[in-house]
Amino acid sequence: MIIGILAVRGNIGRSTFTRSLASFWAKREEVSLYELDVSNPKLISFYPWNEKTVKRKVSRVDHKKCDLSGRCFEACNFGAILKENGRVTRKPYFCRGCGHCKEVCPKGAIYFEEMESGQIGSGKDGNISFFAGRLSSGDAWEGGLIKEIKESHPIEGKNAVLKAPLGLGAMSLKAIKDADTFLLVTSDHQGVKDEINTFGQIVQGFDMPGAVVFIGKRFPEDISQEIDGLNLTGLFVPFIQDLGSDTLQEKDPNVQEAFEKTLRLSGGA
Amino acid sequence: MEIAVFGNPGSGKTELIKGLMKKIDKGTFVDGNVEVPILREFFKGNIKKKEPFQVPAPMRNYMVCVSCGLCAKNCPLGAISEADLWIDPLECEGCGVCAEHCPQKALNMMNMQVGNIFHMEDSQKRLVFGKLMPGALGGPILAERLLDEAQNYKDLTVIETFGLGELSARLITRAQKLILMTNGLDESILKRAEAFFGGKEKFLVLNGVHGDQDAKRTFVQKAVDLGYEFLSEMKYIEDPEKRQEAFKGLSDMVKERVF
Ligand code: SF4
Ligand code: SF4
Ligand code: SF4
Repeated sequence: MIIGILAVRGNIGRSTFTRSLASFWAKREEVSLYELDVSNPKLISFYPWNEKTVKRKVSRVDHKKCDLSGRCFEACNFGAILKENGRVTRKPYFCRGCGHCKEVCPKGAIYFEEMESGQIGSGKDGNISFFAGRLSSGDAWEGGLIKEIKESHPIEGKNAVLKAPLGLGAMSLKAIKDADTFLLVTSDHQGVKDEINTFGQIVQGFDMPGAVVFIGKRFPEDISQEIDGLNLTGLFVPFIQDLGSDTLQEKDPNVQEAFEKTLRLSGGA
Repeated sequence: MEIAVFGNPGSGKTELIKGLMKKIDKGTFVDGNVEVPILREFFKGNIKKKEPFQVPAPMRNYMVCVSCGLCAKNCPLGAISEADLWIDPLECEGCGVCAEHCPQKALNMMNMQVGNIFHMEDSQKRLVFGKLMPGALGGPILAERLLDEAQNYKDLTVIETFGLGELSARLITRAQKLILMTNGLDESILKRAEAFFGGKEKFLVLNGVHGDQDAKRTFVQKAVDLGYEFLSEMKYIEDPEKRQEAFKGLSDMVKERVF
């Protein structure tokens, strides 16, 4: 069973929920926990991991060869190579390293160079195997690093919890597309229904069980109905302030019911 | 003039923008969250314009494809399965390399609609936001498009950025002033802002930061050394009404010292 955990708003308790769910599950069997929210990897401060630096390929321009034909920036869909003040300039942190610019350059002025993309690594804490990545402050593209984590530590066939990058776009979904159960962690804020609706459409598209984890003081009736109406499971988790490094179940044993339900969503555990 | 509000998730960016929307009578707001845009819920005006947002995507003409597999071999992102040549829409970034390599010209880069761009108006105030189809690619490019559209109004532009990844990086690289909001003391956020923000004027707001005074002072000093002007430290306020009051105060300060 592989659980993918999404969120749109930050600072509502997703990391705490994710950590707590993993500990709960790890009481029964080996669990792999993946921190794939590489631009804000909060989980890395809770688990041991030995990190190694990862580089990726980005394009460079040899100005001696460049005749400013402009073919490269017409070919680049990512605004990573552009003409500014009569010169071709680069924004390597947006480059996907796809090589399209190189292919169209009539002068062979484009070459590739490695750029630090971030750190990836793994560690072990009892029954939990932890895998994570942290994007370098100088890189902007999360996709390369996420791929690197997954290729170095394949998810397939494991019992795993995947924490996605913030949002509900392609970057978040591709991080957790191996999951067989999707969770959206949310709380009471303006726009929450739109968020739940978007999530509902995603789950439907993947044809997979989905649940909304609502963290708050109480579970508002209208939100619970919204969730039911979309054929999603609603799970309520009480908000606990200043938890530190404790898990939710250490403060409130009742949350275990939500974890239990989560693990039953795709018929696992 | 573009002013970007940047910060870690949950640091109160939306609340600040909400306050500013009330304080300013003239200007354009940009919502950097293109997946679940939220600023429209606070903006009083009506939708004046809606345009499609498209991204290039490869389409295969199976009548001429000979299944040679060269596209899959040449895709730099591994988005095409070597087994059945399926193009994974979540992996494909639309770079166009596969189409260049197809000996049969069976792959065409077509513009595919993946979302919409909306303009809202309330007399001299505007909001430009986008909505991507669930799970669609192109979010960061859409965010930049919103800024292009906002710039057409040649007015003060206030940008709310989303997250700490590419979506926000694309917007802060193009801003002239930066308001950095943080709810923690992790210095990596300062580094991130330094890496992408190209403008000069930077302002710092701490919001609901736990930690002792010394740690806070060290963090603020680091920021000041990097050229930030320290604006304010806000305490965590649980009561929503009192919190709104506090953000009103912050909006006044921002209007005076940043704008
Ligand atoms: S390698 Fe691709 S993404 Fe990078 S600059 Fe060239 S065309 Fe753009
Ligand atoms: S390269 Fe062209 S002909 Fe070959 S498999 Fe791909 S689409 Fe078909
Ligand atoms: S457009 Fe680029 S990323 Fe997409 S399938 Fe073709 S080569 Fe791969």
